[in-house]
Amino acid sequence: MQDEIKNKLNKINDLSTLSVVAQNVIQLTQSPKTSALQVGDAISQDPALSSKVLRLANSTFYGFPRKIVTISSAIVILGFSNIRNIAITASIANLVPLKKDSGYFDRLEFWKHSLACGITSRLLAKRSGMKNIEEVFLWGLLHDLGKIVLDEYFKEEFVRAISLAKEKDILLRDAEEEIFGIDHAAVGGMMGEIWNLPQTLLKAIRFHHNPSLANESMRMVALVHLSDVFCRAIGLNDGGDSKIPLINTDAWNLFKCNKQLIKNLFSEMEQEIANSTDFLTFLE
Amino acid sequence: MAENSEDKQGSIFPRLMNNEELDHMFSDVRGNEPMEELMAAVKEYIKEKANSDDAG
Repeated sequence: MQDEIKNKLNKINDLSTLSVVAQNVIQLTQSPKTSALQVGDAISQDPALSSKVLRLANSTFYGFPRKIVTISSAIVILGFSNIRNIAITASIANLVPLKKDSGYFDRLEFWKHSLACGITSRLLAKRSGMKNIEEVFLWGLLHDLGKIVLDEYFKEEFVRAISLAKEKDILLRDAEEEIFGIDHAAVGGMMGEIWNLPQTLLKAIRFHHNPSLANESMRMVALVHLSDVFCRAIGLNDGGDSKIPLINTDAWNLFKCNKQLIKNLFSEMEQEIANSTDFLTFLE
Repeated sequence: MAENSEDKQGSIFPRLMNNEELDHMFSDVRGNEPMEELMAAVKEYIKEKANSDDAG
């Protein structure tokens, strides 16, 4: 089944892939030699993306006091990392529309969980003094990419996996293993590789269930793993199952987690999430 | 995820779960130290929030 999935994903890639503009933006924003003008020119090639960048730049999600009216000022104010996040997320949201509910898997709930996970990852990164917190946000936001890939392109089997998870009262990822032979983390990794997503993001997608496998990126993937479990614990799950996975002990120890830290984090999450509903309209 | 009585898109933070829902969610991971601490954090957070909402 694993090879079958890979072949099908490769065929899907012939039909739908990240937009050329998004791919250019990813490439440009990864180079320290790139200027804001170059990134602005690339984004301006895609009017829909340009408008999304401006909409999100002016949303409560970023909360800038003055209105941002040009792409170039949005790039300067938001920075390359945020612009890359917007380009990747907008492009993925175009491929897997938000307003498509199979009755089994609610995509709005999926994106709510993903957004909460991005926010929580960023909060944890900030607490631990990490610098690239916007990159961490994207990791949290897209860690479950494989689920929407399965929902979009392997609907029948995915519905069976969700039914199985409900029937046996097990984790969705265990049900996916039974149906597909692999779970959504592996599927997301395959799709992300085909789409040429940044390597660090690929690791977050692939290893978010087991950050110990992420080698030198373990610390950053551990953030996403912890955020995923914390979001589920507070009820921000995406509807695929009703059980909680075990926390990786190395990740727990690495961030010196304890009851008080988690309670404080819940409180910060609630405040940040309240300011982030604009992000969901950006995905439409 | 816990149902939210408000407009689905208007509010992301969920209705907080009750003890029964939490006990079910954590039923397969009881005895694991980090998970016990996480569950205790969730229960305390919910209780404190309910108390502050009542006071407010």
